[in-house]
Amino acid sequence: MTRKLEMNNLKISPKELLINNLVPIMFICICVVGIPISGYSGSYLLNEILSRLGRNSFLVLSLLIPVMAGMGMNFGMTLGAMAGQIGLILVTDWNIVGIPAMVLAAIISTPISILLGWLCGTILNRAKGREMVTSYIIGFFMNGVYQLVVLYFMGSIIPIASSALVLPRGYGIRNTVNLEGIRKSLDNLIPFNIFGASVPVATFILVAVFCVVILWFRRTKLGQDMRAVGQDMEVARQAGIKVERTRLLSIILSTVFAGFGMIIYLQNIGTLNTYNSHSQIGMFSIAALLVGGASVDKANIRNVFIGIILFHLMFTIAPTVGRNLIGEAQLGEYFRVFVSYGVITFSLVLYEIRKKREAKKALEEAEA
Amino acid sequence: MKIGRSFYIRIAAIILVILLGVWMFFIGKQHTILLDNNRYEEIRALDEVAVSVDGGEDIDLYSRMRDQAIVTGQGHTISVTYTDSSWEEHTIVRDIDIPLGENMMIIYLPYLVENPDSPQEEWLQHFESQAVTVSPSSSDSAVVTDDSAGLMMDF
Repeated sequence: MTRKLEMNNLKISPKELLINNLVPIMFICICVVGIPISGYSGSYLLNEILSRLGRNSFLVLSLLIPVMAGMGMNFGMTLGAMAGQIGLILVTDWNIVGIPAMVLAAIISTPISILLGWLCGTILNRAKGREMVTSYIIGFFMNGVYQLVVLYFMGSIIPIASSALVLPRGYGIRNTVNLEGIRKSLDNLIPFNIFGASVPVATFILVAVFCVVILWFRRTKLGQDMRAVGQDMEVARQAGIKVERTRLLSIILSTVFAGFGMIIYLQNIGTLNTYNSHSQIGMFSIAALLVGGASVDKANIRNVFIGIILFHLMFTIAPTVGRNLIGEAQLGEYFRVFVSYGVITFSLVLYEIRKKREAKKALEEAEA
Repeated sequence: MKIGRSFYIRIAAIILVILLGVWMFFIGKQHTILLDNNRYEEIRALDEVAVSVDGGEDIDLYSRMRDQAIVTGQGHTISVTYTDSSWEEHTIVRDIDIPLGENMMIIYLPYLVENPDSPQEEWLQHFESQAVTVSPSSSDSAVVTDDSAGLMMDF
């Protein structure tokens, strides 16, 4: 087959195009087959997707900056999520409500995120080439520190007055924190409905602003430096770019934005699962980005939105599809979690295969 | 160490963010105002009174009734409409300023109607909830920190 597609001055064969977009194509197939089986109405699915787009976009967008700097998927975004949660616990205790509560939680989370991001970035600079697995393990380690702070320090060292938050023993935060004061305060700020589905306009505006910031950031000196470091660290170093500092900044920025994203996410949910909410957020956000066609070394805003729509469409329909096919909704629940892990593994394997193939091709060209 | 212009810009930015946080704290703080129409010392309760907070819906209170209004921020306007013994309707409008640290305050309506020009400290006072503490269930007090417990959460 000699037919080639001309895209961005690059010749890509249909086979290559299929391989490069295997994950999104697979998800489109799952959704196309699953939607009729689920029996959900169009307006219900639209409502779910709009809600989930608003809820998750900021979190997933926060992953783009480390990819730009060649650090892969930032599993350390969990650290930012923890910082956001600490901010939310404190504003709930202080009885602050609405948008001011969200802003205050974001302000409180920022220095914590910067500190955690700096710590994570410093460690990742010592583990070049193994950033993803290292950040994943840092997430687990920091989860322990978070539990120490929330379970033992809050209520004893850090004053928490509300009895609705503190465990009966007098210190430590309860399993669930009711975020009634901020529930949907951003989503419902500008009420708008389309085909019976509620559109979180204010959240979308915020996400759009963040997209513009990312696009602008790519053109700044720091953004250019990050891209240079992402392409080749040694070349960037020779060009006078402070590689370690640039990588550190990318992780700090990602962690701070992940903290903001977690606050937006939780205002939509309305309940904080104190010890578990943050733990899966990294995995689900990364899975969504990969479903959108991103890879470890390349991700853009388009991947974010395609990924969230496809991944969450699967997430929405999976339990009902499981129930309608086998009579067990639980199977659909397992399926969606299995797919989340599976898609990350599959993308990583594809990335490695592609990298090896490119290296082999380059070697062959050099020999020729 | 040489201190450049960017240092001052960063300090100014940090101060601005802190000030924004303080402002958010002030405007976002939620308070509960109890509206009390019970006998206050020697002043008897009003037969019927309608209270509106910040121009909101009227809260009707008969003698020996208590209701609550939940407000956000510190400065509010309270409008009290009552009928006197000769069936004439009167309205008292007062601005109230809730102290920052207070979560719950009580307004003694009979005192306010009797002394409409008195300072707010006389009829708006701190209130400590006398709610009975109920022991939470064991499932509520058990902390689950297992990562896999959140696996099936509604994402």
